[in-house]
Amino acid sequence: MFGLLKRTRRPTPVHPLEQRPRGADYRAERKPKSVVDCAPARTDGVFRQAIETGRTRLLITGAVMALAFMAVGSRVVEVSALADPHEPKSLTAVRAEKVDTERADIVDRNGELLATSLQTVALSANPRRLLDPQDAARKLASVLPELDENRLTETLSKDAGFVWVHRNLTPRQQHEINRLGVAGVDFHRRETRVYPQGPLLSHVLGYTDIDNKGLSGLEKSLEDRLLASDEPVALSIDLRMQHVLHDELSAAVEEFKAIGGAGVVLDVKTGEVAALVSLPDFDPNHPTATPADARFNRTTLGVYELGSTFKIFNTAMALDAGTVTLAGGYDASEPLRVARYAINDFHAENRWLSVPEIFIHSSNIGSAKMALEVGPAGQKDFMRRLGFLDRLDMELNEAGRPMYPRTWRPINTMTISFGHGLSVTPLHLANGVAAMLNDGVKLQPTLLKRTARPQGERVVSSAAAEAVAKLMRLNATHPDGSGGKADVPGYLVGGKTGTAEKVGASGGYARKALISSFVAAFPMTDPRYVVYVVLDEPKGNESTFGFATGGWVAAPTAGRIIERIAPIAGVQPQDPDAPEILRAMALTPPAGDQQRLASFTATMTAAIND
Amino acid sequence: MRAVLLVVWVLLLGATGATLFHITFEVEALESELTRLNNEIVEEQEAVHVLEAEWSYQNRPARLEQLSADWLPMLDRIHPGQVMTLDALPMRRATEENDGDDAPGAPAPPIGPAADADKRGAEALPASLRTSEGGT
Repeated sequence: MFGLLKRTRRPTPVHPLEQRPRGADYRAERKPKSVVDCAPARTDGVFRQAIETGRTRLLITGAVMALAFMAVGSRVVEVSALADPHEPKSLTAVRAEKVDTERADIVDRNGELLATSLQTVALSANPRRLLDPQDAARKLASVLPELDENRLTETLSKDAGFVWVHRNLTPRQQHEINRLGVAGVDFHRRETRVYPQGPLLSHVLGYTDIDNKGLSGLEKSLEDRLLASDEPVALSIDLRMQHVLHDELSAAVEEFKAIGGAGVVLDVKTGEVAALVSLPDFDPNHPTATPADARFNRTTLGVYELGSTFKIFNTAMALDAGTVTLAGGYDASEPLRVARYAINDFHAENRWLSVPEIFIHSSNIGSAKMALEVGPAGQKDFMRRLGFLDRLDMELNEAGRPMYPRTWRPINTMTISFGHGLSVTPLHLANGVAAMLNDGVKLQPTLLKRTARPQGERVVSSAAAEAVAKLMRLNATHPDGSGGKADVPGYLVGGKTGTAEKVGASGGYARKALISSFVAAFPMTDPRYVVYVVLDEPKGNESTFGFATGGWVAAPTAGRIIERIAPIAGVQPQDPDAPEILRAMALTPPAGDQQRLASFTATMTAAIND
Repeated sequence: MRAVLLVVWVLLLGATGATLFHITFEVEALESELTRLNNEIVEEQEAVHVLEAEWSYQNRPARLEQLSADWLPMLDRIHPGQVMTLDALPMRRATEENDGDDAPGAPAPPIGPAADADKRGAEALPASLRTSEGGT
């Protein structure tokens, strides 16, 4: 190659007889050559110079081209023969961002983790590739003691290309299986839904199946949201209140040998569900380990006749309609007979009762008469406004549809006045009471954390709502009131008992099977939370003198719950006997000429002596 | 002259190639380092994720309550009388001993208002709530 660089080399003359192809390319080349040949000797130096220049240029171009081709060639060799034959490295090799999970986490209102997805390893086998199924089964069973060797042998002997051996391996088990060196088994990375709180939120969260698909609770109803983004879902639930409710309700269910229980703590001002428990419950980590009825949500799916707690609504309805005032009353001296039914009082007073007395003595007769004055149409309309005739529109799919009479006769009106004949879910009732205490404005209950106060719709007038709140407080403070056992000194508890007889197998009401409940709220001067406790078929014991009614079994539980959740809610204890509180809770404002404060006792005495 | 120019060009070309090679290798090394570090971060994040679940599991309210019952048996349920606001607490009285070593940010108040606060704190709750059974 470097021989070409010799500048002095002269071109060899072309033999005239030499045969050359007469192509277009050669014609151009031949021209200068013939010029050289024919040139006179005197101009030889000039021509030579020109030729030398041309040759040098040609040479440099050639060298550059040769280098370029060499580069291309070496690259071809490198790519085809030397380079890593695997997939090209992606530019964003691994994103060092947040852990990318299939389903988003669920946290409580304070950010405590309630449900998360963890990476686990599953073990599968390809029976067709196994050399000796029996040997493989023996080896695997030695590392995984929870697997039965004989059943594993059977599984591994199947004529299939793929079988699952184990769904969740610990890292140690994975390591040991690797060491066994069994050919034909594979590991798969997968996600497992984990509920660190165990059974505490079982009915709220629900559970997922083995393929991480939501099967119940929020896992099912929020499926799209959980899959769409990795941002955790914040619930309205306060884990601490949830624990208190769960703890106390479980204790009550156990103490009174109830077949089940339901409980809810509802924020009056925002409609957020702070705690929601249904017993018996289950561990969402192992949902199939408990009988199927444990997965039934009594709080939002079960509909029950909830008994006298309905008198809260009945009184509010009558006061709102203006058919009676707090000073008015009804004759409850003898049972009310309508057609073949007789309405009796459980705590019969057998005399004329004022509206507050009807409330605190829980008089069925008085309530029925109060409802009759409003009339079936008015009552049905009121119940519809309260949302008691429709399914609760909230996040859970487990929302029970209320049961109510198709034709709303006067007898229905009378029984519904004290909570029989209209079945709603416990959450319906808690939400209704919250509406009464939220100045008569009903809010949409939710299980998701709210940032803004929702727009509600008015159910009753402010005045009726205020009167009902005072009646609830009176029921807890008055010596004859049924809610005394729920009062916690300092937290100004108000409430109402409810004891309903369950419809027996024969269709009639069973006297011994009760739904005993208590709905409470605190502090009644400015209600923050409604606490509702329901016990399904509680049995009385010595401590309750054999009674299994709401006032005996559910009220103390509600009181204990309030005592424990009030500090969590940041509610300041107040002196229940402070004059301004007594004045705020007095049923009738002090008359202008009266100088003394109207206390409950004074009002009640006046009402009774009327 | 031309030969020198040519040699310079060739040398430059060679140098460029060598630099290119060097940079390429360096980039590759850095890329694999980045991948390694990112993998490490992801692994750590997964570990953190698992530990978060573990933390939540270990902090189940029921477990904390059990631990409290086991190790702090003197603490009972919070009695409403134990809940107070900061205003209701009496201020610390200034004395000669602790005048100098008072914590910064908590200046000793004058005697008069302190005594008032003391009285106010005691009066903030009625007798029925002033029981101290919960605190012992």
